[in-house]
Amino acid sequence: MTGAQPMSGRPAALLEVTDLVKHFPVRGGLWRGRGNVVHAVCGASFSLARGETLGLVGESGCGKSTVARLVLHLIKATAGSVRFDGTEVANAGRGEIRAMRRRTAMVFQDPYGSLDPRMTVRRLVSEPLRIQGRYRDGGRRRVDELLERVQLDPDDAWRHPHEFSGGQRQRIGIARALTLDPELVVLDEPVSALDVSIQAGVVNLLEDLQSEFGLAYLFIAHDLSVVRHISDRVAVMYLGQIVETGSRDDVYRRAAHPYTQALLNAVPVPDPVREQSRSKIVLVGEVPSPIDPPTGCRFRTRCPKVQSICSEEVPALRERGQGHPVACHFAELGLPGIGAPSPGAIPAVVPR
Amino acid sequence: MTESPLLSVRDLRTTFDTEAGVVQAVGGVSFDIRRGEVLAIVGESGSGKSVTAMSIVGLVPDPGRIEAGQVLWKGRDLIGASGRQLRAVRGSEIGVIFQDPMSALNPVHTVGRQIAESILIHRRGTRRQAMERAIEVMTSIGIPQARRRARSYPFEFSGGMRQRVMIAIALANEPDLLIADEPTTALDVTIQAQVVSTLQEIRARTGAAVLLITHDLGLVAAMADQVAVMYAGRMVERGSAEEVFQRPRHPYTVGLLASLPRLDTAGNDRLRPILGSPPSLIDLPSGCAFHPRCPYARTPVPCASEEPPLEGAAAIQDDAGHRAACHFAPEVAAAAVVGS
Repeated sequence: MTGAQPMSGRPAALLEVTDLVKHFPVRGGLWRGRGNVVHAVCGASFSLARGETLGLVGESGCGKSTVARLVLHLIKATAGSVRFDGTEVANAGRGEIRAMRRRTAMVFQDPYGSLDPRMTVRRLVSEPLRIQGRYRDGGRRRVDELLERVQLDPDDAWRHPHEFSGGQRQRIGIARALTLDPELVVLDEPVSALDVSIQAGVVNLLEDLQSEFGLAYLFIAHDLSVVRHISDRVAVMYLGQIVETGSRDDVYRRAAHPYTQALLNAVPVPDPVREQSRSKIVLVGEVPSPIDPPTGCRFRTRCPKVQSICSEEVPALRERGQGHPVACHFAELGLPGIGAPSPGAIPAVVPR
Repeated sequence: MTESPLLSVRDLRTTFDTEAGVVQAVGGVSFDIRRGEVLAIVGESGSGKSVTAMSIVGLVPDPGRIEAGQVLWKGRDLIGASGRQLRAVRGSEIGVIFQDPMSALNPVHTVGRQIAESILIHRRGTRRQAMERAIEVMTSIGIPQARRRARSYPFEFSGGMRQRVMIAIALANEPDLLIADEPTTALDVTIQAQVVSTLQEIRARTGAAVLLITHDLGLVAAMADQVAVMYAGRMVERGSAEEVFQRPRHPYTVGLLASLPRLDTAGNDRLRPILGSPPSLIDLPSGCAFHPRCPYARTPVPCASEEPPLEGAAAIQDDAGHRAACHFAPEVAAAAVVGS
């Protein structure tokens, strides 16, 4: 049960993504003109309800940021469907896209690069209102409110981004995203540039804003701990595909895909006694090129469970008796997740 | 404590003269590393951890300079040593790994040549012998098909493999100390796990000491025997890894651990950030640099008036050598244990 069909017991999705595909042509280099493409996203499906957070997690190059851009129609999908509140975005006209953009917003990773250094904070936060022609009507007060809400002093609104710390700058980016009262906010690595002591405050702020305004978050990050902390549901991506998805605990406590298991296992635990005594799964090899992805299961070149079927048949993302959808022919619980409630209860299959 | 330390840093002070003023990047740091030991210096951006590492090997970038202190390498002070003397130590007795292998490697030479070169600088021998040794080192740290890969250029390597090449260069001359500055920060977590496991194998095999510089508390827990925590250019806490993680005694360390989302707990608790932001290193707060953000601070006396020492008679230390530069370290330790 994933993707297109709304899950029973959950309200109709605000965002419904089905079989999303994005290919980028490769220009230049040795293979110029031979028509190579980067298979950035290959058939991703997921949905997001109002007020909910879906964490999209994966390593660099897995396609998670491309998904973010496709969802907001910042780039055009090669195939597949993105429905926002029932309206198809992928082939929408300009007017519909503008309407959708009023109800969505994006927060970027780099608060240095995403804020125009020549603009004051007031100008930055009010820009969406000006574009929509709504600044004259109480815009100034709205900016003050927003700045207070993200715990910045409105008296500093005449300052420029470089006068603020990294954490404060990310708060400016968040205030700007909230200016038009969005329903969906896409956050692409929103806290990964911040030190942990500062990151914690921004994560808390995002949680508060969500419950206050009923925001839906598509939260994209590579940090598994942050994603676990903030997400209701999680989708794990590998080389352009979602390999496992489910509730937060489905993925973090009952991971059934060998990649998810290895990924969770690879995160060192900040406790020397546990960290140095737990058994580790160290994956061999590296992520293959998305220009020429492996046949069958894309993870098979690094998978400890690989069999001959893995190169022949693409494992569909579906329920395989593990309680949530997994794209693996040999999906099973059994490797210890880090956050497993009873450490030691599950024997490690791949000791170092 | 009979064995003399391999490296002994004493009251190191490194500053940067900028237009805005003098940046106190490292403000009086002291520590030892013994043979075979892994010391992690952990801290956030601007804490002075990387500048400490650069100061040790004489690679402080302009306009930085070492104001005071000693860097005793096997008893000999490297500060004030000539460039020639420094180069003889660096790359041979001390290997260095930086965060970004792409900018540390020369793009126009093969990696084999770059490793071999670092061997030839420090040892007699022919080019061919050096290349054989380079291939040997590459194999030993898990670069597959090392003989063929030695003829490749850095751009032909992935991030993880490039970092292995850096490690190979650092290890080529069998150093006694490996300085690793954020060695896995640029890498994905599954690749980080590979590199960490490589570093652990190396350590077990060669017995080299490691100075690990990182902001990643998980990495510290995975690798370190001893931990030193830095804040605003000062070392605020030091002790065995187990002690520092399980019984932190400095409010900053407590705050750092509490602010971390982690995979080994229930995960529903609200994160606890450290309030405020780190101070400007040009204009540090009086007394303890952490006091404006500290929940334990009593001001003005003693926290805003007196800098709590980590070293010396006034330092608070237990039998195991666990120290914290805090006027209220015992209270902090008691509260942290109760809180956990």
